[in-house]
Amino acid sequence: MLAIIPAYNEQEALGGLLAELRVLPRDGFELDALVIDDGSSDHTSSVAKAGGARVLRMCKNLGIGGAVQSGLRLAHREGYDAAVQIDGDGQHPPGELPLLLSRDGDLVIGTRYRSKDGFRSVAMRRLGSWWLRVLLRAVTRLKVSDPTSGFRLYRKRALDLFDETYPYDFPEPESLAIARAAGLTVAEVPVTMRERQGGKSSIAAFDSIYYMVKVTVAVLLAYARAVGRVPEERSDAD
Amino acid sequence: MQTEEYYRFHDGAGNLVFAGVCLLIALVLLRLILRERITLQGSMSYLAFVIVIGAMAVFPDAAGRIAHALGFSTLANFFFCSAIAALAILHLRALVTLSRVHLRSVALTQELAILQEKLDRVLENR
Repeated sequence: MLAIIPAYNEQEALGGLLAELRVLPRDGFELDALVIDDGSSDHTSSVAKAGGARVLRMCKNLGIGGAVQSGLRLAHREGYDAAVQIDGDGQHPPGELPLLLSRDGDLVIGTRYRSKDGFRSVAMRRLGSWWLRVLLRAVTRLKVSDPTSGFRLYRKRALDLFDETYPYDFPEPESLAIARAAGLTVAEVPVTMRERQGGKSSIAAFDSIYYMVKVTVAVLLAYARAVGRVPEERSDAD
Repeated sequence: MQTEEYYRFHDGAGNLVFAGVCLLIALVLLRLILRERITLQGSMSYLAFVIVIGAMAVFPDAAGRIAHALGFSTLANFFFCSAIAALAILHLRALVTLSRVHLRSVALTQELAILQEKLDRVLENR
């Protein structure tokens, strides 16, 4: 399994996260760490290398969608059975990874809203998340409690699908709509998240109405575009 | 009932000045193509647009007849309407090209990073 860690100027939090991943008990799985340095201007890459991770260095900032898709593409090409996305800011405790693995499904989301423990983000963000939940349920009939969670497990069919197409604009909710439209099974499991362990959030406009309008349109279009799309299976030659 | 005169540009120097401006824009476009600042393929439609509105200035009677046939009450309305439509189409084409280039740029950045990582690993294992 490949741990995909998108990181933009996360030199403060990344070292600790990689140390946690190194000591994580491997119970029936192997885990490689891959840090996607999304055009950072700090020492994110060197911290990642020092932490024993493989590093993809983007020559320009692609945003979270482009960064995550790079990792998914690499996982798909190198024949990994699964990939787990973990934020580089340390919000996602690697110790919760076995919980994701314990659930069946092509795409398993770690949700912070079903557990009363741990970090639950600000009220405006929770309101935005509520709207996305309603939207996804209405459009795709998908019931998820945390559509913006970036702590997620992609199994083989999800890797096949997202190697071809992965949204760049609002990747978390859009990718759920795409997965649903392509007939993938989406599951979720409660996890405990933490506050970011360092650095600054790159999400500044989440609380704006404009953001919600854009993400609503993006989810609708992503679903319409992906309906009936069947992920191409990886061939042995790959 | 409108007279045929109603559909005509003002005859004289005004038409020629407008045609001259169109010619000047066409020459600027050609210069940009020759200097490889823009591609011929991408600028053909813009060039065609400039030539067409230049031709309308040189042959105002023909333009007036077309406007009349299409139901425009004045030549100016026909002119502005067709210019706005043409510019909107050109803008849409530019948007499509820009989006395609952006997506290719993202894909290339990803490929470059993946290949660089492979190369680094090969060099480290030597």
